[in-house]
Amino acid sequence: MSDHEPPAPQDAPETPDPHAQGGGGSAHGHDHEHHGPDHLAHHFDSLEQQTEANKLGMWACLVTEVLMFGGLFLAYAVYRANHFPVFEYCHWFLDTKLGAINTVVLLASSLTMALGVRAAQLGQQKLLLVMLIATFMGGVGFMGIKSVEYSSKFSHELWWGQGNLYYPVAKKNAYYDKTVNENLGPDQPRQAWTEADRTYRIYELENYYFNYKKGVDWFTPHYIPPEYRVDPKDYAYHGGPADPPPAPAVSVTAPSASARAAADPQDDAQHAAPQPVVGLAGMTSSDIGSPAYGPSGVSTALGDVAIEGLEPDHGHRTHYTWDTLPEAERERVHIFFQIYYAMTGLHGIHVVVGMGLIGWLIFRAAAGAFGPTNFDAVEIVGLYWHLVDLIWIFLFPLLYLIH
Amino acid sequence: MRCIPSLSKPDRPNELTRTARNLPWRWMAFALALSVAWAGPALPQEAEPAANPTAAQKNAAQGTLSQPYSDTDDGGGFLGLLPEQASTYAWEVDAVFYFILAVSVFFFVLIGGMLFWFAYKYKQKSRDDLPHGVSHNTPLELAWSALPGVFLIAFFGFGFVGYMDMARDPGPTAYPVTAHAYQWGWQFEYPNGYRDSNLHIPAGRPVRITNQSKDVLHSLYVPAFRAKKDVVPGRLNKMWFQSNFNDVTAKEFVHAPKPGEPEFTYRFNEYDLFCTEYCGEKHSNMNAKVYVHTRESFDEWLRVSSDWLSTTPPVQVGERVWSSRCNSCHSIDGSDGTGPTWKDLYGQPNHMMTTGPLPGPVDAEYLRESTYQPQAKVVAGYPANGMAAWPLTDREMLGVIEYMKTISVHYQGPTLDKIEDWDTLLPPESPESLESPESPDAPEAIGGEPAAAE
Amino acid sequence: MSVLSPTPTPTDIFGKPRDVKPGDDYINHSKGLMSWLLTLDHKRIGLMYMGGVCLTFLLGGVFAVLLRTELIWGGQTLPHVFGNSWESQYNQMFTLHGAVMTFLFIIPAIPAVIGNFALPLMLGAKDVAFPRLNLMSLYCWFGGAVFFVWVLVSGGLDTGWTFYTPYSTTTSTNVPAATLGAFVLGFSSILTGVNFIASIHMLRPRDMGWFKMPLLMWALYATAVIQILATPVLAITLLLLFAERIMQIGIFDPALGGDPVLFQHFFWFYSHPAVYIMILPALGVTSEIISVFSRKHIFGYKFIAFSSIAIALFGFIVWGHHMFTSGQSVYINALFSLLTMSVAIPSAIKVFNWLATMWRGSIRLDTPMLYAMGFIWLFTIGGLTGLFLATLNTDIHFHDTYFVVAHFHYVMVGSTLFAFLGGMYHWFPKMFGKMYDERHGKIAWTLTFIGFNLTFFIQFIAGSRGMPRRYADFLPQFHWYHVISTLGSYVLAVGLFWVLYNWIQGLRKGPQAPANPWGGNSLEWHTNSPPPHLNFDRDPHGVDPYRYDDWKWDESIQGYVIRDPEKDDPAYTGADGDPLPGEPATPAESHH
Repeated sequence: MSDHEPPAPQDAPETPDPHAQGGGGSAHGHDHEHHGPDHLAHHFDSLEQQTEANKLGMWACLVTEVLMFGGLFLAYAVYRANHFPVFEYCHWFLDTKLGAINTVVLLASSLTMALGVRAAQLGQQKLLLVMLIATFMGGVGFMGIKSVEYSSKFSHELWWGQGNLYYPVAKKNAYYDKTVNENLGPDQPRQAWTEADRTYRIYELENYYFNYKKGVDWFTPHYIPPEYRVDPKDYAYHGGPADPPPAPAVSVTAPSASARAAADPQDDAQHAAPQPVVGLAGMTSSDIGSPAYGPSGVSTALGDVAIEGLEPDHGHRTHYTWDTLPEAERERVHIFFQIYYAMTGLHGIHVVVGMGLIGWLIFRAAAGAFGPTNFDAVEIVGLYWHLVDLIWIFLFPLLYLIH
Repeated sequence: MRCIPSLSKPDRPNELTRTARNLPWRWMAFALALSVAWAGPALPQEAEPAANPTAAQKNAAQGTLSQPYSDTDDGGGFLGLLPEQASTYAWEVDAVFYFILAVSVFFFVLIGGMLFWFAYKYKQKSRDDLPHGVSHNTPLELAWSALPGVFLIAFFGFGFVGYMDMARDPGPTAYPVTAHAYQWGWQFEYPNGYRDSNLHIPAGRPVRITNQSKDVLHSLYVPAFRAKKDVVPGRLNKMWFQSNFNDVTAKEFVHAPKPGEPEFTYRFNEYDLFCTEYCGEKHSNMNAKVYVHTRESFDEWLRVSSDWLSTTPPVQVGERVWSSRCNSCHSIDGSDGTGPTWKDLYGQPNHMMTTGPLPGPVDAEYLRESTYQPQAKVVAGYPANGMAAWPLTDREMLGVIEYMKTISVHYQGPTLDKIEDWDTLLPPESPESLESPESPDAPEAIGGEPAAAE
Repeated sequence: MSVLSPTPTPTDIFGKPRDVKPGDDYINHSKGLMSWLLTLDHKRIGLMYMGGVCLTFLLGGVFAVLLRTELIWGGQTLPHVFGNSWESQYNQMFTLHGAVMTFLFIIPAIPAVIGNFALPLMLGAKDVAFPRLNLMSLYCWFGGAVFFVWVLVSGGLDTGWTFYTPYSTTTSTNVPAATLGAFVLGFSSILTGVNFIASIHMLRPRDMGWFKMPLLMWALYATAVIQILATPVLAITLLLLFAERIMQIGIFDPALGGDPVLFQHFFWFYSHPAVYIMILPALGVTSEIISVFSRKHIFGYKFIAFSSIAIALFGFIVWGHHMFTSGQSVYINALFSLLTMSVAIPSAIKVFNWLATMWRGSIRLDTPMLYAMGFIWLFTIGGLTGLFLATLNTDIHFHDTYFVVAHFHYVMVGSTLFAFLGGMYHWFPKMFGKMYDERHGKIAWTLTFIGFNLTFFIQFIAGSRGMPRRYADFLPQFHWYHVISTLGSYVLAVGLFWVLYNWIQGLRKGPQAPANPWGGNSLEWHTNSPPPHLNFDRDPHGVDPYRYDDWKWDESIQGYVIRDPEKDDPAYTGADGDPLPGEPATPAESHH
């Protein structure tokens, strides 16, 4: 992100002064050089002018940033307006707790950044260094938590692009054909998904996220009391005690599914009663009996049933599941994740760039480069960092707190 | 219309279509637009056969009603600036056009004239001339800020009124046609399920077109109707127009559907239809003809055309299916296209797929699978998703297979090119259906849901 | 102006011979390739930009001539060299013609070449506010150009410069490289915009108020506003397209639940304002030239200045008129049609004000003035035909036909190219310190002007008769339009090569240019030709850029000199920065 480079021309003293590079210089006309301190560039009259110009330039860059994210927010708004059920359904898969912690971390780092700017203005070199390091650590923490979130999504196949569980099966298979199957020998089975495979995996995922993970989540209004919780161990397979689908000859589910089944032999033993419904062509989700889901299931009841101490919230009672999602919306579910990764990913890149800039400030501050008359770089990096923070403040509720 | 053999048709001289409604505009624009008159439209327009004929031309070359370059360029419009007005709302477009043209020409003459006049009149005499004029005149400037506004509001208003006529729903009496656009051609589907690569419509009745795309963006444009609508995948864009029968430019031809049956005289107008949204390699070939029939002519055409499967021998069915749906990707002369060529394909041993050669020679079973489930086996060297499933009917599929046999050196059997040959292909008990097969693997059923429902 | 008696020695603005030492002007200030490649001097960066955009203009121009040649007959005309078929070859050519011309030539042409060179000079500044960002912008441009060269040699591009989905996500050509190239070029544009905004805000002399700036500054300011507001939207659109292409994320693909029309909205939200990025600087250049060559104060300064800003702002609310036929809501279409009309008003203001400036002026038809008048001619035609496209039902007929092609070539190419060439001729003496040959300049202008109109006017009629755009082949009723258009394009090409010849001859053999050959009064004419490294020998202050009273013609040097040599140049503060009357003593404190 080249435009994040602080437009402070005084930033690199090792670069030769522009007038000096020619060597010769002319007889007159250069008597305006060096009429100020070293960090005053030749084409500015005064430090104030230079500071103002730097800040103005940075604000222009920030406007650019806002517009750039604006495009993504617009995409978000369009899809959310047109396909609200998808968004309502999907936000359950995001971890509100981690998101909230990240918000706090980023806000705190904004505070330390602001204190750092103040320290630079007051010439408190040590405090500046401490604050910059604290800010940097905030960025590290944010990215760390983010990577925890991403990796859990990755392990659940809620990933970007074709790797998303909700990606249309035909397209996913076309992708496998191009990437995997093309390299298989003629006698090796092709790797392909069936609708039934995917439905099974989706139920499994719903079970995990809706009933286990969200059950301890105090940020959602759909608080699930313990008696309504479904132990994922009991409902590892959505249809109640049952085997995972037997892998058909031509259909091999994605490796992580079988890996998980293999890793948990208890499940196999526990769900011995075979229910050979999965893997048959033409099966729809409604063919799978649904004691825990569907119109009379636990999840749907979350908003409907008056739970002691909680009023049913009719404004927000629609809680979509795979079964209750409108048919046309099912193939669009993955779009939410595409937008989610585009937005958080771009934001993450900005955080990393900001950390790079702060790291550079740390080195410069350690060398004592900043002082009461020369704090432009700290200030404009601070502006940038606040913007990154601000964008997260918008991203968090828009993505994590959808109702 | 391709089943109907070509007959000579009387050519009528092209005359300027004059409708009384837009005459005032013409006269109003006449004096002013002389300054922009251009010789182009008046130049002779010869019908040169193109070196690389379009799909429509190819059809024509094989003997059909439509001629390759029938001069549908019927003058029309003032100074030949616009094509013939062939729809009920075309005159509204033209009226607004001439109105804006008149205003534009006025301002252009004004500005251009001042430019030249000033350059001549105030030419510099001496380099030290230093004219001192007023540096601003706020009332004057406000005036020429506001003056265009009046015209602009008028343009918008007239344009809006005319546009609302285009955009409204034509009502329940409209004749419904579904336009399926694909790379690169059109399939116009009629209420009885019949599909044709040209658009035939009845005159004097509104026609509602529902645009559906099989792949990328296209746009349906009939200049003579002033009608245009994009074909957007995933959306069902609707458009409508109504064409009145133009006796002056009408064409006729006489034809008996079957030997021995009474002859019928088709009467129709002919216009060009273009794809105007860039859609890839053969975008410029993606044009077709619009035939506006009289009511009786249209009914007869639809009746005869819809019945073509039962009156056409198998090989000819296959050839027609190829030329109307497959020829944009699959060649029959061995040249490489978006898809593999059909020449010498049938019976070919060791046909190479991405997963290795086929176990046996190319046979009917393989061809069926490749049509209904193109992704199941993909020919080496071609993209896996290069082709969407085509829901051919049984008869069409059989015809295609018979046709492929005739262009393959690997097949030495008989050519089934007589109508009786259907008896050997289709057992009498098997009901023939024009409907698409109920194949769950076909991503897009005919006239069904958009691609998202696959 | 044919130079009768070339002055052998350089002179200053007083007409006195200058004592020239090596390193005096910015061109020979320092030597060696690296002193150019790593320069922070806005003038050198502008010159390097000029070399780059001229090369890409040549590339796009070659494609243009090939395109027209392909269309001189129906069917295949040119031999099939690349692509799947000759049609696909044509598609690649028009795509690359459009993409190269738009992203690499027209958008940077005036802001990055003339703007970079003239903006600090006109502001009386030593450089732009952020010289390093300026250099980075240049290298972003080179980076983007490299991507496009990569596209050229790696399977081409056949999506049209608009990259419409879903075709762009399914075609086998090198869309990822092209999107990345356009993305990088976007940064180049943004950096220039940021620089210009900060420079105009912060670097004016202390007594140059907003309304004492030359009008080119207003135009560049409006351009910069668009650049920083619209370009990031293109950037994110291209990133999404890139992700869509690489990972099939499906946001724009209906087969994956996305919406292709959303892409069109995204794309035109940038690309319509981008049209004004192309035209606004051209309007500014024309304002300068018209006034200088009429030797008369510009008429209605404030109206022209604010109309630039108005065009920039209106430009953001009209993008929907590219999608009248896409199936979006009828009322959205109506709204966009109405809003689009609004752009005509500031455009009309400018044209009328220019004419009023010429009225009773002392008009000298030198080459820059011919280009400026040519600009008015072409801009008027382009603008008026825009009315047909803004009006709803006529646009339904004209959309995606040659009418549109002709329209946007008149406004984008005709106008911008003419203003660019006019501006180059206007500032040629200042840039290089040499004069070009006036006779050749006029011949080249004549060829260019005739060629351009011949090429594109006929396309209006082809389009209104229904010829769709982006067609490799056409029905025979359109044949003669294409023949005339193609012949015109050859005339245009000859004219442009003549311009190039004229410049090169001027650079090689041109006589020494005076400091002020045209009698302009904006600050760049108050310094030597070519200017010194730091632009001015003394601190300039604001003057009325359109008041020409201080200059008189000096036949001996073929240029204008300060009327009263005893009096100091009115644009300068006294010797060694003495304060102006009523000004505080220290310049630093008084800076606005």
